[in-house]
Amino acid sequence: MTLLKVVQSEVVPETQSRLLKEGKVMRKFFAVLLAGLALLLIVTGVFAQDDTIKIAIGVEPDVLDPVRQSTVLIANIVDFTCETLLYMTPDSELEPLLATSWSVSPSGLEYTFNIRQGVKFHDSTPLNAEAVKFSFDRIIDPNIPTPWSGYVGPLERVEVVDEYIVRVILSKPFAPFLTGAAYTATAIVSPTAVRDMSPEEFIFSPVGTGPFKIESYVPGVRVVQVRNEDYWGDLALPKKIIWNIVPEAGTRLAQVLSGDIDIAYQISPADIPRVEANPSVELVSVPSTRTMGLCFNTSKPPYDDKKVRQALAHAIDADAIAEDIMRGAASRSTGLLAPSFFGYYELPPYEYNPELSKQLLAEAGYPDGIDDIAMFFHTAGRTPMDTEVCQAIQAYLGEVGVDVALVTMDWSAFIAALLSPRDKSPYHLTNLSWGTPPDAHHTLYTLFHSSMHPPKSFNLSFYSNAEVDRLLEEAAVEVDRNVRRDLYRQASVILWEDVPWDTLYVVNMSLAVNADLRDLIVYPWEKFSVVKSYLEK
Amino acid sequence: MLGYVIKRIGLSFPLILGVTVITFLLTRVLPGDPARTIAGVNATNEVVEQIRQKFGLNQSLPVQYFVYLKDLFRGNMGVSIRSTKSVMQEIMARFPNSLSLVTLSVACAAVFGIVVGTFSAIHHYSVLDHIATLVSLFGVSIPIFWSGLMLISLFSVTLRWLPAGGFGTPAHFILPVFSLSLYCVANIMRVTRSSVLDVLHRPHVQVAESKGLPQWIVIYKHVVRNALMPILTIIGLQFGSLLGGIVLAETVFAWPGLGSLLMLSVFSRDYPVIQGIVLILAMVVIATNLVTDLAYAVIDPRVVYA
Repeated sequence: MTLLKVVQSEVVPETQSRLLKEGKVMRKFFAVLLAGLALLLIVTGVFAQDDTIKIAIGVEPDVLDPVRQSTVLIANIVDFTCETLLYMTPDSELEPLLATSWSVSPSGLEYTFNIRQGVKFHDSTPLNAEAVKFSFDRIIDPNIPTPWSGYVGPLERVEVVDEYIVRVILSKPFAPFLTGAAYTATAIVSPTAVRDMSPEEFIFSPVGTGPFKIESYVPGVRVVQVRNEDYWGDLALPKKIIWNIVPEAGTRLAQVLSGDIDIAYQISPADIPRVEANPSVELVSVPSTRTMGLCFNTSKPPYDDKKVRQALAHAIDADAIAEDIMRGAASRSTGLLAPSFFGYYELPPYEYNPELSKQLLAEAGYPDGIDDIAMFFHTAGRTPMDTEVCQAIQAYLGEVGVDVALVTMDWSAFIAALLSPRDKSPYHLTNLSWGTPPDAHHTLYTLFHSSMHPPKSFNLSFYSNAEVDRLLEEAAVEVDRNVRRDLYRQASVILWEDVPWDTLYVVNMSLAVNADLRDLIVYPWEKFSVVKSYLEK
Repeated sequence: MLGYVIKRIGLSFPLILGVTVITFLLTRVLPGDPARTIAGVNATNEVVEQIRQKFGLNQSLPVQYFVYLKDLFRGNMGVSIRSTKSVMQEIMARFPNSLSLVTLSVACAAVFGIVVGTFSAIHHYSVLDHIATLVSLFGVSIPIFWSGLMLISLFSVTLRWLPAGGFGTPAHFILPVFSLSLYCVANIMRVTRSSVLDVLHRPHVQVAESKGLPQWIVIYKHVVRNALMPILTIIGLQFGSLLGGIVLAETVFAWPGLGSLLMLSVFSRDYPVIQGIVLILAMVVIATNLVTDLAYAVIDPRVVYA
């Protein structure tokens, strides 16, 4: 600037003075530009209100209708708007929500619920037994494709006993029914809203009784929920929840680091150091119900041999994977299920011991390792670091003489390949991360019952064991929780010894959270609640 | 002129038909099953089969294609398997967002590219020319997802000047537009430079200079206007290629446009939406080419379409 002034005071050739004029124009231009920019910043800064909680999520909702949504994260959004009969605490205990009490008939076929009185849906329709029946009927309605019919089991019909008592009748006993009655899919919705709104409208703005109403949903941008001021219980603390749809994990992290948002959902383990280095952001990393395991296809030799499977289980250092690749956002499995499950039974992990592994392989008849290349099918980008973990497994198995070829696919192609019938099944090994509500039935029955072989379901090991089948069937219908727990213990011991599925680690749900956010509740089944949260000033 | 436009539009029909065949086949060649992907792993086989029937996915491929084509002729692009909304609705909710992003980016890149390219040509082999070439080379070599994340890291996390992705205010435009125009400015700049350089030594420019016209008039009226044809061509092409490039930019910047919808639809194998988006993008590219050709006649009176 001073230099320019000096030049100006002297007599300068014409061209230079023209340059100077241009310089002035340029400076004006920049000044206007900066002023405009500042204005924009003020405008954008304005909607940082304290009673609004802003969350960045990577998944765009398919629909927000409780019976039709298909991902746990979307179910999380729906939970704030549509409530279920029962509530499951983070410790997997059932508590009253829209039902004040409930009872099970000795036969295990009839569940009677007393419905909370004086509750109104967001459209002012009163909650009653009729509405409960209406909502349960939607799950078994053949015209509504719901992914969740398995969670209510053999539901036959629902009877209205009186205005506030409802009875659910099953065609055969189904012990995890109450867990289902606490899951999003069985949320009670307003019958008037379903009838009055067009189906296209209802699936994106369902009407329930919850602490938040859906205010708006802009596809690809955000879902906004506003506080229900007429809520039957204690009012929620935030006035507004904004769920921004941000597909890229790096961008979600940047948003929370820059203070644009309060919670970034699913942070990559690779970014954990960046979160920890920033004092204004806190890492919340909690063990979930999701277990990552290596699945052996027992319909293909040599993986039909228990000894081979045990040998390979000893070849993998799952502790190192959890610590170094997952950066601590995972913990070594200590049983078939995550510890938060009903039916979890602790078992000693297969320790990392390559020598023992080689010895077992030799005993099984493979002293020089396995000649045939093992086709290891896996998906990328579905769970944190899945590709890196599979590469580590490949390296560990290589150490004991098992050559592994990784076949990487996106999720859609992956499940299509996995669900091929036995004679066309393309893989020897596959990694599977499996997370369900915390009742052993949902995981063990699906993964190990012999009726669940692909293409029907996800018994991807093609495991068949009459004893395990019997235990899982009995446990599914047993009403006594202690007897049930013991049945799952027996099944776990057999499955642990047989290793059709080598459980490696329990995945953490990792959130990067504004350090001023208080009273965030995190559930092991990959959900969280901000209903009682607030930002400390 | 009108006759020419009608002829061009008529000629584009077989092209669009070809696009529908190719996208239809490519989506079906992809391994994966939309019904299972959308229903999720918890759904029973009955539910998956139900979805398949509802969307006609269990019919043979030729039948599926002709049903699609028949609907298309009635202006119906089908229904999204994922959201059950009409494809038209899904696309129209986002198309304006992509179009504004791309148009703004191309406009910025064009202004910047032409100005700097012209400057480079006039002062060719100067230090500034070399710097401009280097910077433009840099821009075209950096993948958008990386430049995008770096820009966010600098302007949103470190400086906290701009929002880190998202949509809604003019400020949200700045980073994605910068990142996209960085990507395409190089080509415009290089074509401008060589084209201007070519015109610069023509006799009519020397005449204009020797009759004492101010330099800016010489450059603007006699050089740039004559050099504009190839520049216009490259701008049209950049527009088309950026429509492809938005898939990455929109994902990184959480921009609710066709690119992010396309990504989502490919991952969930939402065939009708994929077909719809590709069709719309193809039509935009065809329209852009037509507009570019017509613009030739506007800037150069010697070009006449009959």
